[in-house]
Amino acid sequence: MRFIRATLESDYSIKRIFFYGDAVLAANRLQTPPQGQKSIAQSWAELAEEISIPLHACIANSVRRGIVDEREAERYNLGVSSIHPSFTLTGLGEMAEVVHDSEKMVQF
Amino acid sequence: MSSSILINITRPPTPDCEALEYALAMAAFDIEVKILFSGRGIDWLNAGQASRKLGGKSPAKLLAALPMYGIDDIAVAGGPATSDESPKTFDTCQTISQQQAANWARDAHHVVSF
Repeated sequence: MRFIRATLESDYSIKRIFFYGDAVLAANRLQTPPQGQKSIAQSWAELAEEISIPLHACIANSVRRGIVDEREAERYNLGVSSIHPSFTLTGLGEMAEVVHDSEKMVQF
Repeated sequence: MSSSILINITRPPTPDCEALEYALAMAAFDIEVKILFSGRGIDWLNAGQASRKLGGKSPAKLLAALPMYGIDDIAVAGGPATSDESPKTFDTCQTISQQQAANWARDAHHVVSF
């Protein structure tokens, strides 16, 4: 998150923040962190709102890990969505599109 | 101009093979993909591996699919695969020098590691 802020302060633009693999767990709205700590999902949500950059989580990786939106919850009969509303489930096609259009992809 | 990506695999196979799924997806969207195995990542190349979870995909089958997606540049960096004593028989994989691996990274628009 510090890198993102520093990048934007340096006059670069960021097209997308994409969560892949275990990183999709950051989108879990059901996290209950210890008292006094903010959930990772909430921290990302606040950053995304501040900088107006969408948060995308790989749909296949997310569903495997129990991160589902209402549509996937219904499809798999899970009863409840678990994704933070600031995140969107997307396929790798979305990421490929950004890879095409971006000068540089940075991975953490 | 088409985009290119080097996928650097340094960790052993995972139950969901997400590194290779990523490679196949990028290739399916017309991104030029090269794959470099190093460190424990060369364990992906052990021949005939079954899936690592019930109903999962096998690394061997996904590796075999790479050329069908136009992924022909698949290599082990820095000499023969030596992470364990098992034979590595995935024959589409070439061995390249560290310098060639560095060139692949330099020439790619993007580099991701798994």
